[in-house]
Amino acid sequence: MTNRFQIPISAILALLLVVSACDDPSPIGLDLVGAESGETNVVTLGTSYAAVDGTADITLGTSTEGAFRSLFGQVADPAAGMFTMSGFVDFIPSSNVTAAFRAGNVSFADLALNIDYVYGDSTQPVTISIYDINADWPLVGARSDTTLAASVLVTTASLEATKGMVYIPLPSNWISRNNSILKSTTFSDLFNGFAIRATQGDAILGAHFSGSSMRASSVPGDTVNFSMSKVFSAYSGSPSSSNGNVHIVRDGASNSLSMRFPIKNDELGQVAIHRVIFRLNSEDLSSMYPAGFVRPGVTRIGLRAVALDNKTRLNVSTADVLEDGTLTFDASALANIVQSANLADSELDRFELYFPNESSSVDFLAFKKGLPATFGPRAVITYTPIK
Amino acid sequence: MLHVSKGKNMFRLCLLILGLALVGSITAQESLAQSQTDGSIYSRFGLGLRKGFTSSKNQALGGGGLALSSGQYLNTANPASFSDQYLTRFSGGMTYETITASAEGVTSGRLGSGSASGFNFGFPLKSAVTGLGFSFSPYTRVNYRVDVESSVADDPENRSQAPFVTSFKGNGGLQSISAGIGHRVNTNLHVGLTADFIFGIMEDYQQTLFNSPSFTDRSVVSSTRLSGISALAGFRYALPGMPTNQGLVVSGTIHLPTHLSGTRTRSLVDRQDRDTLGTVTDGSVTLPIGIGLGLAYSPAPKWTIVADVELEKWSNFKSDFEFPGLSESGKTVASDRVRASAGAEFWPAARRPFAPWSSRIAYRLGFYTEQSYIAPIDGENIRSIGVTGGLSIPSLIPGTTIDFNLDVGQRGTTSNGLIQDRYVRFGLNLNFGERWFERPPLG
Repeated sequence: MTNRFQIPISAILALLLVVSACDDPSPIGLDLVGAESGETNVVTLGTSYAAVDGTADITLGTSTEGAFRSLFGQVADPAAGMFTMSGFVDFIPSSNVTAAFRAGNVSFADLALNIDYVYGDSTQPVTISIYDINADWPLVGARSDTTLAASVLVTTASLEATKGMVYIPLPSNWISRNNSILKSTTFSDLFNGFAIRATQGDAILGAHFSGSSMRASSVPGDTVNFSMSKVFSAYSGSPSSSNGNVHIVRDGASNSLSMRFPIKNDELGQVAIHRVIFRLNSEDLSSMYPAGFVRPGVTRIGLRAVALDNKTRLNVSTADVLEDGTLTFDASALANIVQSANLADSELDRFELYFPNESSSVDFLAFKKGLPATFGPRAVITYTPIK
Repeated sequence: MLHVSKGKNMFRLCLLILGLALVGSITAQESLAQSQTDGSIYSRFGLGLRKGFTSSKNQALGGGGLALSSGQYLNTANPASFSDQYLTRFSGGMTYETITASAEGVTSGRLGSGSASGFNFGFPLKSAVTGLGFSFSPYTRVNYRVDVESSVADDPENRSQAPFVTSFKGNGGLQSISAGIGHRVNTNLHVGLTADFIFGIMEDYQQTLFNSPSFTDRSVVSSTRLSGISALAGFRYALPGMPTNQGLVVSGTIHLPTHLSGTRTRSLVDRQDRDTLGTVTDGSVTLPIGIGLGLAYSPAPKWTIVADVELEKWSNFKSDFEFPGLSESGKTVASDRVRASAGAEFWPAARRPFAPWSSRIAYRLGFYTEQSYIAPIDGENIRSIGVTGGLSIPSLIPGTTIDFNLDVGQRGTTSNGLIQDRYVRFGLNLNFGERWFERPPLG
């Protein structure tokens, strides 16, 4: 190709690049276009259904995932009623089991529990009973309504309802009964842990993985640590409220808040969804509690979509509980889910509030019932009607 | 060595045309089948604005040229002219168009779009007697955008506003792939026939676009997909008895009515998904018969003057689908499309193949007027008028030129709530010709 071509062609290409950047679209011609859809708008929808139900929380955890503390105790909450938790803990030997330990007889053993969670009346102690567990219990998926059988009472103890380390000696008859198990190289297979239940008191305590262990020694000065390897918490009792204007949603229980909004085609019309905000207001009930009653509070809660089969659940978003008690879920996934439901292109049945598995607590939120105008659960939907 | 040098030049030019097509696509986000840019609002109506690419020479002469005969160009306007070929020829190009749209009492808006004009390929079966021609060109084009800025409550509980743009867009159109043959019956009469496969998708969008990640942009789009086979027949007759160095040619073409079948789909579209709304509708469209008449007069070898009239009987248009401005509840309101054009070419080097380079530049000028087949409002058919011009720059390879075309015109009116488009089209076309498929003489 000769320079005779190159120069004008280069100039043309440069010109094209320049003029292509001069686009300035305008509303001219608006009267001549036919709308494929209507005007974009915002609507605030109240719930067509709201109820406290749902599946129980997964309260089982290992040192790497899931719940991170075992909760035990009982509490008569002035706002949410009676609630009881049984804790379950299991242990594995740490790597420093010496030959001397295995050669001798175990002469001492205790439980060291790192109490880092207190919910309830902190002015009176909590009396607990510790039981042996004879059978192995599952590693994954256990929910808080699962029943685990405990067998022989090992010991009882009275614990202050405060945070800190507590040490509970295990009795000599338990030690002699478990002497060979404690020294066995197959301890993890032979030992199934303890169940912890409260018999007195008005608080629920939580023992954290970190710092909690079982200790045993056969040689003075040579103590072997059995680290806490698995925790689980099971509840009994139903939440209730003296205030009929709120939904009580408690962590660790089987009471998610299920909500349906009129988002389907025959309710909202066929629309293009641009944004969906779910908002709830939690009630401040602090005036109902006496002095010394501790509520650690809930800082984060999740929203998930539940399919018609009542089994399939999709975690959608989480929201922080603001100081004024407001929770706002605002995620593009939410808009997509509602869009599919509106187009009858999904198996969505409802939305459900849930506590993340990692929360490991028993506190609750009280959500206002009613219409959006009275701060009930609401969906703020930005949409464009489809003609 | 001369052949090697020419071959390299040809190869470089081929690379150049590919590069131009690529740049055209990048700068204007455009491809032949699907345009994504901005043109006239009138392309929204009917099946879109009628388009066509017959040759860059015809473009510069007002868009007609049914009677043109030339071994330098493949004139797909009339398949009879395929018989003129003595070189294997490939031509194609791109067009960039800017439109300044104005309406009464409204500030002008400026839109720009680029597109491939079309591609032609032809070769002689018997030099200057029988030739084949192939082309790929637009038949109609839908390409408009109207943006309206607005706002909506971001979140009613915090009273902030979220701005958004409602963008009414259309893109696509019908394309035509043609294959034809032309034959010289005798010294004066040439005839030809072309088969056309017409196909394409026309899409009308209403997009709601937010400048915020909190919102999901979604569009409702109506897509009409059509395809069918058509045919074009033509003749060209050189009147005998003309004085020496003068010529007068008459020509005619007929585009047969065409049945296109297709589907219409409405969808909701976002960045990831496309959900069909309702059911897919089947239907058909019948394109009308088209008749063209042309004259070409050459008072001297350096001069060629052409005049053409084309008529398309859109009043006979039938469609199972509703199209804006074309059909209301099954009743056709389209009217016949009429296009008249004329142009003149001055080529100083005519019949002097070894003339200086500057003398081998061809200069072209033309004009046209058109009454469109659609009426955005009842009784208001859109009229266009424009002036065309062009330069044909010769290369060192005989038979190969680079053509620059310009088309300045206006379409529509600002009265009765309509829009007036003032447009400038700039066309760049490459026109290659070489001897292929010929056995070299022995010895």
